[in-house]
Amino acid sequence: MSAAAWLLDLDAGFQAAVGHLELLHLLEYPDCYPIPGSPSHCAVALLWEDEILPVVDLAAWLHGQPMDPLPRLVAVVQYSSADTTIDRGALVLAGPPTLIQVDDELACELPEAPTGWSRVAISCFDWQARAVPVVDLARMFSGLLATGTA
Amino acid sequence: MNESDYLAELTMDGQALLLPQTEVRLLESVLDLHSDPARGEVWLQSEGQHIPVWSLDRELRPLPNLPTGRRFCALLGPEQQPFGLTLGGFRLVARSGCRLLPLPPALRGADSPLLGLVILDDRILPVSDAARLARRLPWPAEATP
Repeated sequence: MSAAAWLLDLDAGFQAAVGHLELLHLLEYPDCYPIPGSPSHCAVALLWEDEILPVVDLAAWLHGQPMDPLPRLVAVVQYSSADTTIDRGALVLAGPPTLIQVDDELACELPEAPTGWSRVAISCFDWQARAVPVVDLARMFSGLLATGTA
Repeated sequence: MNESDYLAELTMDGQALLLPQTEVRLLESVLDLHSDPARGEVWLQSEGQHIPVWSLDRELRPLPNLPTGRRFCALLGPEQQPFGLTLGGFRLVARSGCRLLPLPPALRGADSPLLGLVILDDRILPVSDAARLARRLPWPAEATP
């Protein structure tokens, strides 16, 4: 079996993937608003279609670094929450995503490092000799990342 | 028109913060504040009361000194335990123009001082209250709220 997915460049070191229906919109240089007291990997929010979206920098969290409060590029993503409602958030990207087709036989183990992948990934596949974790957006935006570092 | 129809927009180093207008009891000039630089203390003397005053940074954490650019001091908190915050700016905002939304879980830090977020004039503004702010302040041991 194969499925379409978006391959995301999180930064120079990390790639991740989400389902092809999970990515809604790409925004360059979005207006971001700092939120006092928020976690350092999700320190800003943006307005999208009259909705407040938290902006998560997954690479910053994996590195244990604070995010840049003025990201160049973000993807607006949607996901189903536990109560089956559809929620949205924004994810910082280092470059435009690529739509790829992933076959079941490409499945592989999660990278051992950073260990944070095991908290946000639901599976992993091998793409051009790199292990690419498929991230669980509901988990990423649930606040779970605020409870500890990667 | 009622006081509770408004929110107070406080500005600190460019960071805006909304509080219920009813919680701002007094606005003074910083020129009226007293300070003891050696002890790092700033206070307001009002009706015989010695009221501690703090300056917060953009993350709403207390600063050790009064930064430049603060022109006002807002007196907040209950009558029994008032405190002051220095501000760069102050304005009233009609509640009718604001939509209070819950803080998304991903934006909740461990000790978030926020009640929620408001969309106002195509901006996102954080909302707090005096009690939440008071819990972040380094009160002397005998006065911890």
